[in-house]
Amino acid sequence: MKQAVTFESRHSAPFGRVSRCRRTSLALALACVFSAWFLTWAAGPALAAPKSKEITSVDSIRRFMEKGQALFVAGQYVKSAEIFEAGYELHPYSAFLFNAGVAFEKADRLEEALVRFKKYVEVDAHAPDHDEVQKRIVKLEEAIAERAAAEKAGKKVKPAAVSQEESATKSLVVIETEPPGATVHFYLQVAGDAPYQADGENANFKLIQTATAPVNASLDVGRYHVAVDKFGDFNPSESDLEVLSGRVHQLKLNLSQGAFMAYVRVSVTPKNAQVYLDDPKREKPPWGETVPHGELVQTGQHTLLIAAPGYVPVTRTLELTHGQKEDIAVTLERVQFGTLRIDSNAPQINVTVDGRVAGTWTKGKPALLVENLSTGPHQVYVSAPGRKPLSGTLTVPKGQVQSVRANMVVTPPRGAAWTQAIIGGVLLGGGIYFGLESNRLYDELNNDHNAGILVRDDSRGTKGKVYSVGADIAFLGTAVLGGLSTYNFLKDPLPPSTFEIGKVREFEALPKANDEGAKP
Amino acid sequence: MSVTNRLVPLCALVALSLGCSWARFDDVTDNPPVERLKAPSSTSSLGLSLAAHTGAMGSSLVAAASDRIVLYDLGSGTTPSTTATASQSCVGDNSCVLARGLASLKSPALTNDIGCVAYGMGMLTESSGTVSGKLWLFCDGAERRSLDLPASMQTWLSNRALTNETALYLGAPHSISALVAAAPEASLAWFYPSSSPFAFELPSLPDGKKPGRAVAVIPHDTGYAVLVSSMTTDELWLYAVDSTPSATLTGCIQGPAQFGRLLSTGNFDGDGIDDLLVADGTTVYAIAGSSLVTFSASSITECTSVASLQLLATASCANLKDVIGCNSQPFASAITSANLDGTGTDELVIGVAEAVVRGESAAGAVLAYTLENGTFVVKEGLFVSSAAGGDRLGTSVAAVPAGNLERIAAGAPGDNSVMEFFCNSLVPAESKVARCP
Repeated sequence: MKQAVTFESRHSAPFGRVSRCRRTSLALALACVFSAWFLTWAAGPALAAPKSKEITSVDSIRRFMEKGQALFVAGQYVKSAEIFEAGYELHPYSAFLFNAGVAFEKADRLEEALVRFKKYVEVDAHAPDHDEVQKRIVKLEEAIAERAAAEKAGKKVKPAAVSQEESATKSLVVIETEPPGATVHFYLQVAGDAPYQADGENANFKLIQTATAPVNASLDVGRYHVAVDKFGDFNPSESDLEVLSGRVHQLKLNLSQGAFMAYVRVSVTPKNAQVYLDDPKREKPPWGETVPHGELVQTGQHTLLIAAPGYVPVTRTLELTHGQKEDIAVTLERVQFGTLRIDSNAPQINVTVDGRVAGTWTKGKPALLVENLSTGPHQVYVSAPGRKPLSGTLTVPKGQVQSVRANMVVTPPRGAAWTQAIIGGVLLGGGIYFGLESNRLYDELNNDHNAGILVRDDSRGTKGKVYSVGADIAFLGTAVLGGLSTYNFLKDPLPPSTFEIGKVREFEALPKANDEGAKP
Repeated sequence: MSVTNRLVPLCALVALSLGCSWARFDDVTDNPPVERLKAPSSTSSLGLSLAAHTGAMGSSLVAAASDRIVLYDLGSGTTPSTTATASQSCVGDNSCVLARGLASLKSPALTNDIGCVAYGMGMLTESSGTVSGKLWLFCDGAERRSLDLPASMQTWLSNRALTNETALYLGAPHSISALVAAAPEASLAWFYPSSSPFAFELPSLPDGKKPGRAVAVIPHDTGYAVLVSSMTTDELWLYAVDSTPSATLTGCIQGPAQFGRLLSTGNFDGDGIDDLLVADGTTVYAIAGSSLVTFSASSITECTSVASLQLLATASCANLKDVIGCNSQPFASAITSANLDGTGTDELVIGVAEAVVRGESAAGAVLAYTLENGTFVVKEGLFVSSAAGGDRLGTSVAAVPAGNLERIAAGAPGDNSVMEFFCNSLVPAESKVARCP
């Protein structure tokens, strides 16, 4: 019985490198662990070197390749070429020779480039690009001849034009198997984005090289599929590989015999979910920290806990049999609460949410977190000494943190208004007094007039006039100051305090296991 | 509408309702019922005495100050000149001493029918060097005139240095056609009948009694009844002057303390003969003039009690709403008669200089009485709205002719002013002027 188990594994790596491994196994033959343990920068034996030569000094190889590539990218082609050559001297891999040739060509030192390319085809006669490099050699020889002729004719020599395709450096790919001796095939993806299908036609992939592991290949930039043939008791294995410029890729294939296992792959939305296998209390590191995540697992009953910050965790129970492949796709639902993260431009603010005191935030301290708020709108009131109070409705997202900055605008000073109001009040009081006194004196004079005893120059007449004028002036002053005071009380040249809605952030951590309320 | 816009009209409304316009004070004071006649500069104690008469330009009022007399042309309307038209100095030396009371005088023989006021006496040095004693008149047109003093007075004056202490009392009938004068220090009284510019001496009082303090004249068909009070006793001596003219002492009238301290005349009973007003310390008596004209005592040395005479009425002090007149001692400081209501009879006007007005001591007031059923009834208490303590309004009173009635003028030497009252409750409605309510 032949059972296909497909799984994917993604590892973060420098330069965003991605490898994809695909394995086909016979259920009763072997368990093949095709683990892309890591893709790293490693040195391996030169392609021209004896295949038995052990891969050593990985760090040294990596440093030469990295440094040369960095200089190359920086446009320091001669220095780059020198570094690649120095690397070749210590670690005789043909990729160094090719890259040195490219660097010399970019530096317009065609003769030196020609020497490196010729040596490359000499030491790596089975290179997949052997024919292309031969053509490049011819082209270089022609260019050198033309240049010599031009120089002889006294013409100005133009720098050699190097196409972008020709400017690409090679990378070193090291494939190791445990045990060694397996046959390895390199397929280059020449068209489309469709992945390699183990049982399909794969017209968009071209076989470029076959070798016996351990194998060291100098490969151009591109997407490859690496296939390992059936070897002894071991099932065949395969993997996708994306080769980047000027890198060292190392791939180890562990072909080991053992018990029959099942394969579980978990795809979760969101991507930052963590998967815990048989660890409901999350006491151990996650079984898978990035998703999709797949691994061979022992047969039997297992419990998967899938959790992500801001989401309702999900628990799944699995019953696995030998060789069973289980694809689990889970879309987590957001929790029905969220957090408001509030800070301000004011030195200190007091925050009330839905009429309840939420806390005080002081400048220099972390933003105030108002947690466990039900999703949806909430009435938020913010006050600060000397600032205009702020009130508004903020919407709390599901399972996320809504950042809010309270831009508290300074309350305009009301000193002038108060002064005017007080003076106006005093004037009003004075006006009323003067007015009443004026009226009293007028009544007295009028009564005396009616009694026939009023004399023209009665001093109360003058006094009454003064009081009347005083009252009128006081009332006028009251009106003016009252108006000014009112205006100054109402005048507000500054804008109101506002909420500045910031980005919505994800929860940074999972809640404690006891609080998460996992649901099946 | 904003709050500010609402406040502005509100404040304006408040201002209008409470502060209002100051012009209303002008409205009420521009045409007051009382005019203050202002004293010229360098004049003090204006209003010590008053005399009024009708001249060519209407009513004239002469007020005595401490060392001069001041003439005011009150005109015939209701807008008198409140500033003095002219003044005549009388500084209290030999050239002039002021009389204790002024007396209006107007007759063809005495003043060429020009309205004058007799105000004092003194020695006149003619351009020829002749020195003679004169009774000074201040006449319309600010003309100073004089009447000769009788021979005995001339002699007395020639031997005297006149001072302000030298007393001269003058009296004229209500018709101002004759004049009686008395100089107590000289123990002389003399009389100017309307028909002659020459004075003749009145017989001396018996027992060396000095004439003076107050004098009065009651004209009648055949002559005059001249009344001279005694300076030292509470007696009033009565002379009968005929058309000769000659004077006969016909008797005396005796009354309570200070009886005869003030004299005046007026027509209260409507019989055509002026009646006599006599004041003592507390009471003003109105004695029928007809009884005095025919008065003939059985004995010159024995005075008749005032109570036994034909008294028309007596007036005593009164306390009114704003005037406390009964604290004064003596009660009356000046008396006169005035036809305030335009009827044929006069009303009694008493100046009470010591009256307390609105709490102001000695602010002074003028009380007006009408004779009703044999009793003087106080009808009016006049004072000024600006009354102040010590004004002593009512130190002098005078009746100012104003058409068919008379107005009251009162001196307030403490205020150095004279007040003309245009209104009182006795003025009939048809005679009220715009100044009156």
